[in-house]
Amino acid sequence: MRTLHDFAPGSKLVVRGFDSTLAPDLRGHLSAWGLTPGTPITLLAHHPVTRIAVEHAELALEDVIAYAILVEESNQP
Amino acid sequence: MNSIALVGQPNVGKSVIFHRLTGRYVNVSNYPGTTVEVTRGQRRDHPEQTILDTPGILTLPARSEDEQATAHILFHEKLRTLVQVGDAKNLRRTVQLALLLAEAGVPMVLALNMMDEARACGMAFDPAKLAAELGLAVVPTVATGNEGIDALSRAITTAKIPVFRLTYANEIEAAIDDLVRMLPVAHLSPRVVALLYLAGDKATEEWLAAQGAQNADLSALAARRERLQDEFTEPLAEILQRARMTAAEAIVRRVVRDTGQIGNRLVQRIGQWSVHRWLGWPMVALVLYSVYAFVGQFGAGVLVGFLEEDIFNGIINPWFQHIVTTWIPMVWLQNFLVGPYGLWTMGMTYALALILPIVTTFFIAFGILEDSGYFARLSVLSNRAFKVLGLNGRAVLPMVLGLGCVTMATLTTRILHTPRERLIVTFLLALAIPCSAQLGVVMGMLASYGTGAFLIWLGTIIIVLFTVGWLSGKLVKGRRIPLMTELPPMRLPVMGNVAKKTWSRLKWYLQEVIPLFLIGAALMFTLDLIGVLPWLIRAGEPLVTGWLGLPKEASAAFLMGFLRRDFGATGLFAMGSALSPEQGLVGLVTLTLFVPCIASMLVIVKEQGVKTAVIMLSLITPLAFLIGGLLHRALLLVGFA
Repeated sequence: MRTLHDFAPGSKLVVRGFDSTLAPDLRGHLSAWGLTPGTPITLLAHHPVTRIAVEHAELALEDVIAYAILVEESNQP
Repeated sequence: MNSIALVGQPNVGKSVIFHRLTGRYVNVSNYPGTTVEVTRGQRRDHPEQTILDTPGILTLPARSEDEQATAHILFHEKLRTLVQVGDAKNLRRTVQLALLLAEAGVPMVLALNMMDEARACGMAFDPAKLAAELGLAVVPTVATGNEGIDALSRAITTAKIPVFRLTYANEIEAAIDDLVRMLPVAHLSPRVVALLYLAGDKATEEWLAAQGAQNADLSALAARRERLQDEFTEPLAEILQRARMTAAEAIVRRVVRDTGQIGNRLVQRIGQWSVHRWLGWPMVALVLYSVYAFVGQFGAGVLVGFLEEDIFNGIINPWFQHIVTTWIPMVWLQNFLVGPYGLWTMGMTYALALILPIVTTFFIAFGILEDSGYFARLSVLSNRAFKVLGLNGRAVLPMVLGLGCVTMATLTTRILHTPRERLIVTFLLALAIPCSAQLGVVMGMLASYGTGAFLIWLGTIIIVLFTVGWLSGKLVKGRRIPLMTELPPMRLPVMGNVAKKTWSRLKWYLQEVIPLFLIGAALMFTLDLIGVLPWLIRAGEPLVTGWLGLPKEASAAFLMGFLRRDFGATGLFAMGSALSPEQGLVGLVTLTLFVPCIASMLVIVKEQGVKTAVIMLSLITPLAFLIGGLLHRALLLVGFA
């Protein structure tokens, strides 16, 4: 499964799950923000940290977290 | 049963609604975590009812100390009505929390705030349809523009317990049924208590533990939760959250007619530039320079020059001195009022002519930046630097807020996720972050020495901050939490809010600082009168003159610095040309690193305990003098005059 690392900024993606290396508390936090499997997101940037849009909220995530989020391309426009 | 709680996710406008409903102003800002404690106020149209403004919760279970304060309220306050304030443009998230709160068994209203922003994002939906889905009253509001507040107030009065139930997976429902039979009676519905307990909510566990063994069989409850957990590979909190997100997603799809993407307005583009890997840095420099020009050059230069020289020294003080010497025969009393350490000539002149214009300009600049959402966005650029300290970019918020008031910022450390982060940030705040009044005086003094002096001061403070921070990061045990934070949207600051905020801060300043300045002046006068001051100045000579290379009179400034660092800095400021630029610079660096003010010491004691506060204090004072002396030698070496 691919992670946020594998896509270019601007990609429309859907969260599919989390890598098992991600600490449970960090994972719990992502889920509190609504990042659960099935959530559509937009990748905004990779640097200086990864930024994504979930609905109209913008989240900043350090690489170690961003690259543990498993995603696939969205088939919705 | 007369409390109404405003709850909701961070940065959705709870405090603005609180202000609208109570008339009581609390600080509101464009970043998550402005409210870290519960604030109470009387409801405007029903004074017998109390409105509670609570810290933001993303969801329950709570994940940080400020979130736990909100969970605590739900358990310990018998609420008349629960008002969820939600961000209309982030509807999935809002509905997800509503799906949990709607089952709490408390009359509830959903205030769908920031409707203007939702419309600007291209969202169109019918609140009545959402109300039907959730079985509760939904009121669209634009709190900053006072839209929908009357309707919200009416809805609060007539609120009913929502008729809503989300069905979870069969195994979960079975566990909830079992738990409901085992749980003691609470202000909340047993179902919601069971849901929170299953998710591992700390406030729920604490409440259960407080019910006593005869009311709650904790081991039986824990065993039932464990049995349910065994049926899943993922943590229960996540499974429950996902169930609510899926349901919220379905509701939003049914309710929202059209969603657009984030607009492309200029303000939003500036927001993107502010976190851009290259463009972000020139923006930081521009912002810093603008603040320096406005506060240091205009506030401390032009305004102070006018007030101190023309108004106070030119008109008010000679007139007051004349009155005092004419009407008061006792020389000591004359000196007490208008002498070198006089209440008026030192206390009031320092407070009104020197510091007031500086803090006013600072509060205006700070309020504009705060409202724009820029501060929180700095967490992205600063993350790498904070990594060196074993922290993450989220720590930038309390640090920057410390430039406003270190005392308040120490409370804001509650938004950080671990005790380790809170300890390190509290220490750095106490050591190296100058508060508004002090920063203003520092900028004012440095502006007269030139930009080079300002850069040396800034560089020294940053080096100390990072060296000490790096050491603390190594010494304080615990793992580093990587950055994950929400960035508030960039907005055009609302001038009315900036003005209100500036005024409320100035009021605080006048109430807190003027008495302290007067006490300080009285103390200095008394010490001088009984001959202790000259003795102290002589005793401080080896340190102040020998080690720091300052004139011996500067000892008085350090003595004043024990009361408040800005009082001390003002003492140096008032010495004017008696200090060379090199001496001024050394004095300012030492005072910047000097002991924090009494108010912030008290907050450190409250938040971290007496032992930690004493350790911090005993590290900070010698360190300040050590750095000051080293800088003095370094400046002599490079020939800085």
